[in-house]
Amino acid sequence: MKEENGEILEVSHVNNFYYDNGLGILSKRKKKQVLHDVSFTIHKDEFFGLVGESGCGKSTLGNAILNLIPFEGSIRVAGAEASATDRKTFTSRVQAVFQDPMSALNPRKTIGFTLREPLRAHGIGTPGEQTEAVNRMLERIGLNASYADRYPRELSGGQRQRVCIGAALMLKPELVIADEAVSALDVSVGAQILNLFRDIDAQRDFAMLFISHNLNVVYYLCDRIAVMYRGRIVELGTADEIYRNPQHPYTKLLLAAIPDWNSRIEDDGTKTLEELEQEDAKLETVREDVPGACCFYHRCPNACEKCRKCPETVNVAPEEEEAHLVSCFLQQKKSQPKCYAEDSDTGKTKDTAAESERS
Amino acid sequence: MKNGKWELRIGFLLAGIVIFLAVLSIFWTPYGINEMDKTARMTAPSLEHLFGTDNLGRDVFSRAIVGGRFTLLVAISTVGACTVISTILGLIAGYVGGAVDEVIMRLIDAVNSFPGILIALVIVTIMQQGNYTIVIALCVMFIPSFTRIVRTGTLQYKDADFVRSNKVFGDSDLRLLLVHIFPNILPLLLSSVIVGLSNAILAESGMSYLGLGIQPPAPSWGRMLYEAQSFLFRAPWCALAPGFMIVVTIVAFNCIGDGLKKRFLA
Repeated sequence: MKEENGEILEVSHVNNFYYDNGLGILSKRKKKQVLHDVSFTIHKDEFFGLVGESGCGKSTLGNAILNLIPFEGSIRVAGAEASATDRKTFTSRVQAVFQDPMSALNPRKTIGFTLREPLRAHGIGTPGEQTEAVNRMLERIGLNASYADRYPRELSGGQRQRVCIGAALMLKPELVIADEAVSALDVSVGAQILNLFRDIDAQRDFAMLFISHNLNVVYYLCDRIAVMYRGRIVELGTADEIYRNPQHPYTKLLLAAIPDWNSRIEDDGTKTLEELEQEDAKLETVREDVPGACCFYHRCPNACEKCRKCPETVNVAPEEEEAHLVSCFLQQKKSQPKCYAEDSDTGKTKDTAAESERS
Repeated sequence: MKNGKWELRIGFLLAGIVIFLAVLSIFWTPYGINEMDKTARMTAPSLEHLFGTDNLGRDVFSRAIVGGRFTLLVAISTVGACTVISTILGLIAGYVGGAVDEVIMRLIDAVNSFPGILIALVIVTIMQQGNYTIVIALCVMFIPSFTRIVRTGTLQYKDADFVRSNKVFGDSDLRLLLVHIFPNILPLLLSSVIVGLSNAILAESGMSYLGLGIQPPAPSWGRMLYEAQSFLFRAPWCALAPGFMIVVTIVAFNCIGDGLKKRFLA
């Protein structure tokens, strides 16, 4: 991948564990790994999508980047190690929008108080200037100044999420982490919020890590997409590449799960509904998990012997284009899945850059 | 009975009466509290002596309202001090967690493992007997339960989304605790404080009854009960009057506490 100074976020080899203490002091502590060697970067002013199913570690990664949970590895924001940066400096660069706007606002404080809080915490401006900034932000997020005196319970879910986004932008951050920011809202309100993100993006320069389980939403909003499965990034590329030319079987499964599959048919033009159903049935194949195997081994329709080992990440994009990283042994061609286990030279560029190395 | 409205009304009415009498006793009592009338010993309640007189001819009503003042003062200062200490301990234990939490909570457990009245007795015995030794003793007795309430509340809110998001805004831990977590625990704490008041009154009465509370000749409800027991059958009003006041006060505070709980937690 290109090494340039335009990286706002560099995540390299992040592992994260949590301990299951069990009940009582006598039970053994169980160590469970959530994130497995996660590496990626986000360019300046780029919208970066992170998709995956529930429990795959998307939010854990978000929390790790926000410095809210402990992790191993390195997360650098604007070149500075996140865990070594003090809270004030760090939060002036990175802000977050959480999933549930109902619980992300203090129920006992007014909207104005919440919006002002970032400025107050950083000692920016006089009280008068802060009030003005709050009012301007309220206008920007499609509310008006009269909302400053209202309490969260007086607002609808969509309005609250607008407030959360507004509060996240008060400090003019360089990176915003949106953790399932539209998942808790109904579809039409969610669409409004997405458009708000787009409008705001047109007005200001900031990068965003958009975490979602919805590929459509991420495709609509983001420049690049990473697909996560069981704590690993299995595929990463530009939104178009991921959407039009998915390489990893899991990405294909995710795309197949999108209800309006019609839009995908042009992909190879020949699939009928029956074929798609067969394909779906194939994707649901379940086999016994093997320790140390490819993370998708237990569900992969095309798994072979080689897949009992963890695959390396390879770049399947042409040299001059934005990288398209896939962590799979099968460089699958449409309609003829074939295991390339023995054949290491597949005509694709192998990119074993440090950050994408797998053990 | 929506949202504890009636509990609150009854509670405030009764508490109002008791507090009014206690405040009134600062300025005016029908008779002096230690004024003895040898011609009127152990007279039954009448218009002249509303609650009758005791074995020394002292007016029981006057003593009951002055006693209420002392009892309420002890209860309020106990619960007040205890709330402040418990809030600090509970917030720290809940928010910091880990070893700090363990140490604080195990100490609390240690205090809790003794019967409350016993620990109060020990403290009163060790310390100089004075009117306000009992405040310290009762305070120690009440700290465990209050600390647990605050700690539980803190645990509940410490990982709440709004606390996390304010953390991401850059708030300091102290500000998170005081501005964002504490106000959300307050309703729960408030209702416990009110119920705590009635417990403190009971405990004070118990201690005074054992002769360890308010020192004579100053009256308190418990003290009066203690003094009345020797002639309980000849002059039952001497025991009934402070007993009645205690019941009214406790019903009042419990009603308020329940009402607040229903209102805030419904």
